[in-house]
Amino acid sequence: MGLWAYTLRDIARRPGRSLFTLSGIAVGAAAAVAALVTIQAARGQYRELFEGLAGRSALEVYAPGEAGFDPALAEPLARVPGIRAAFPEVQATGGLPSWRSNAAVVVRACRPGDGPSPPDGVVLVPEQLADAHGMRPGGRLRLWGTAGLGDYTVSVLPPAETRKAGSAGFVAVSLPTARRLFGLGEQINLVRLVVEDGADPRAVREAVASALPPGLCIREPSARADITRGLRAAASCGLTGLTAVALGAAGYIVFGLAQLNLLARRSEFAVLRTLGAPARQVEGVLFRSALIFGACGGVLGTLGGAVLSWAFLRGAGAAAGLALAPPRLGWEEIALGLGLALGVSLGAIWLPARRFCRTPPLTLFRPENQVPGEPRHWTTPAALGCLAIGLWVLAECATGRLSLSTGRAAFPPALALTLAGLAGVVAPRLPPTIAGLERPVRFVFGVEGALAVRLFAERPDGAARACGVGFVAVTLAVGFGHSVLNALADVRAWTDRAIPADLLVRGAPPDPGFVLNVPLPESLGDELRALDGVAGVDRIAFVPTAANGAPVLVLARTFAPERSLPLAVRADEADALRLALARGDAVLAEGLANTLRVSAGDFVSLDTPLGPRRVRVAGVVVEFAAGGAALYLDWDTAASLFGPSGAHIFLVAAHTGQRAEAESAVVRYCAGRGLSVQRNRELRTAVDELTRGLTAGLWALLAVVVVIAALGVANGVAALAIEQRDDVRCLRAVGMSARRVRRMLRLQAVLLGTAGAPGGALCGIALSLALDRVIQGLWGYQVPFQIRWGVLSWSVGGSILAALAVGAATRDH
Amino acid sequence: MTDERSVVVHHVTKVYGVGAAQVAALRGASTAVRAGEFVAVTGPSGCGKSTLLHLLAGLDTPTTGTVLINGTDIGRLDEDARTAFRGRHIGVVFQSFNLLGILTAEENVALPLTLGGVPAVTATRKARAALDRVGLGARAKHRPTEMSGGEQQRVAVARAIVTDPSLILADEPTGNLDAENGRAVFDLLRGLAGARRTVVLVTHDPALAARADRVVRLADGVVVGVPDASGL
Repeated sequence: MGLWAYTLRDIARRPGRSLFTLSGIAVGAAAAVAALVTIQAARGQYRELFEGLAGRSALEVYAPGEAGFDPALAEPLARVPGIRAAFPEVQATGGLPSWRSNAAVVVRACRPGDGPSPPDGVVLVPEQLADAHGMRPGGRLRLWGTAGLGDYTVSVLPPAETRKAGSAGFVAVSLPTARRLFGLGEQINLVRLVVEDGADPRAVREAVASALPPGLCIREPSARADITRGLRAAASCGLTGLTAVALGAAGYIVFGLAQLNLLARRSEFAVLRTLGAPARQVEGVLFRSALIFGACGGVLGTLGGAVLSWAFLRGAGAAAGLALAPPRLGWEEIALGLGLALGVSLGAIWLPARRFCRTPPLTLFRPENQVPGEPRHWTTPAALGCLAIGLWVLAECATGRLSLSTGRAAFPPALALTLAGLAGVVAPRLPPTIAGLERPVRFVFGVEGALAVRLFAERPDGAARACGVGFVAVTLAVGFGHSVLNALADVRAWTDRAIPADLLVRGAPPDPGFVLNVPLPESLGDELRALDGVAGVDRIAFVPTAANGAPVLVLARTFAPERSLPLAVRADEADALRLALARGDAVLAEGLANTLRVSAGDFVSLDTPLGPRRVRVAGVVVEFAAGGAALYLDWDTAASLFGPSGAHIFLVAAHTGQRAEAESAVVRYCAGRGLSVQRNRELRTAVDELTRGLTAGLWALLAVVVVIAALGVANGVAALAIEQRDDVRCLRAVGMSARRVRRMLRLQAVLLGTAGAPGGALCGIALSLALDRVIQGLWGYQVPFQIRWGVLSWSVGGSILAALAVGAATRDH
Repeated sequence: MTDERSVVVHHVTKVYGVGAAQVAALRGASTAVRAGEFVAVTGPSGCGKSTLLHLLAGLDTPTTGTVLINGTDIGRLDEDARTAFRGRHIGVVFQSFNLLGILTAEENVALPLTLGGVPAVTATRKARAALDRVGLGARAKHRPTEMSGGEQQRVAVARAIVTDPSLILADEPTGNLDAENGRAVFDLLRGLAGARRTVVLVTHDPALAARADRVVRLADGVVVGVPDASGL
């Protein structure tokens, strides 16, 4: 029998432990793969749509705010070196009223011969989209655009033609139809450039940029989704953080199980060494074991991660009313899953085992001996080093001394280092602390309590491992719990302040990325205002552009003087901001102000169809739209800078006491025109559901943390029990009953499991405060801190319950 | 006569612990064993019998003095070299059998060969032959848990001889067995000693020791009486 067969047989001998080990590795890998797949899928949602429409080797010329311009500009662009062809087009978002749910679609129009171009009055709809909305060839279809609601005939584009067109997420109309729908007159709003094969894209781009008149810009098609960059970056950071926590937890569990396994196999390794197996051969057995667990865990984790991501995107899509594309599992994700699984497995099983394997066989034979290689005098200095480096990087992030990109990249590893250092510093001090409490423990629990304390005090390293996992679990639960709940409370407060309307009227449900927004004629506002019970109507338009070169979303908005300023300002500066907005100033979201490193009184340069324009910053407010990359402008200021863009949302306020009347009138009005209406309470419900979902997710995560902690404590206690075998044997020999031994071991589990809870709670609060400061430094959000007693009591109580459960499950060794 | 000596122990001391906690298990023990001899090491509890055996097996190193096995000073070898030497030249039998529960009797016996890189077919053939020699050929596919204590110890003996070592060391091999099985295992080991194979057995049973070619008596860490028959 070879060593592979020997290793496999050993894995099969302990099915429970092997299953736990495999699960730990698979869960860690699954979390990482799910995070990557989800991030890639989210990134690809818009990119594929726009790259599909334009072609991968293409560039686009556009005016900021998607404003119109003269099609004659396309001709000279075709002569720029490296450009094969230039196609004048109209591409804009239209609203598709549907029996199912209104949808935002990209409406594309080009000259005949340049792409799909149906006759005037006809809309070409890809078959997939037509089926989704129950459209039939020859049937009628209505589309909302800036100029109003158009009525057209449906022509279905077969799948083969759709593939040729590059994307299924658009409808095609003739150029005159598009110009009428979006009020462009004789203008276009985009020139699609096809780059010659082999041309240097950067050189071509620079050549085109130098040939453009002021007010026109060039971009890659996928850059249209750049406004979602902030949102994606924040989501990526969160998912990366979660992945790091999951991997750390998986590593710890696997490490604990490996330690347990090593202890149980100590004499077996001694026999192998006695029979002539050199240390590296025994090491090879464990290396093979780690490889098998890593490979199997990697495969399971990769598949599990893909399933998790699919479920997450499906749920997120359902919550947002969107049909998100399913995630794809590519080589990058497979390599990540396998690589991480093997890394966790080798790091947690093989590396710690190397010293064990090099231990002389006689030492391994001695049952009374401690685990070989246990005392490590470098651990405390190393932990202090990790803590110092981690805290220093976090402080640099919080104070803004690191650049944003460096800080955001350094934040997750710095956090991991801080936590590891904290655990390494605090955990070894917990067993001696409990040992100092031997008298009160004896008073409460009798001689079993005193023996329990004395026995684990004799094995400080093993006891510290068991205490440490409880400490880290409570720290993580309290720290992240506070930060997440406080941030959610802030989001809720922002919704209340920023959207005070009774009803919201749109062309289609909102796109969370603010990329596809249906423009509606401004005149609808007047019609809505004339309805019964309506006191006033405000307008919001989302205008994508750039500020100081960074992608931003301009929130162009009317601010009714009779109502309070609907901005989530931190200080009492509403009146001053209202005046400044009317004067033409901008109010920036905290995140954007932080990214651009500007504050009230500074100026930012906005890209507009008229060329760059300097706008003064009047103030900074809480704003989460576009991941915080947003700025407010007064409606008239935005119109003067970007031209008429239509309104994307009408905020309808009812007269006091006439809300029902207004609601009924607005709903009736919108139903006849295929507009989407959302009541304020529905919006609140949606926000509440979202925050409830996130809160539920948080509690689930905390539960997982507690379960992992319980497993860790169980491992630690089991390992201690193995080490204490001789002591237990002696105790039994001198007449201690099995029941009392069990009670002693249970007390050990409870004491070790709960020892870290008080310190963990304090460190968790400190962690949350530190996280808030770092988030403010890197993303600009000031999250108001508030003690969350629920999180505190649940985390501490959960760890005590877990310790009790472990204690109850402790068998008489 | 020197070249006939399989084992030479010369002024060996072994001290455990440091400072005030020091304990000397051997205090200058000297002895020698001729090739092919069957020697029993006896003495009261704590006299250093097992320590001496561990030094002979290369499982431990002497604090001072030399231990020569077939002319090689194994105390001067590093851990890996000692392990390799043990694998080639020494077979060890433990009081508590130390068979691996996940392996069958045949696989347990073949293990030293497998670890030494011997092809599986050859290892299995030799293991079967060793089991036949200890009378357990019919139990080759059984696991240790399916065998009696006596059978397990015979499997351990088969494992010790499968590499055809020149020295077999047995540490209280009958200690966990009843009288009948103890005698059977002792007879087995007695039969293994011969022209090319030396057997050193630690026992506290005077009756068994009396049946050895020669008895080395240890007391308080030193060999008492005549150290060896070759006049060292």
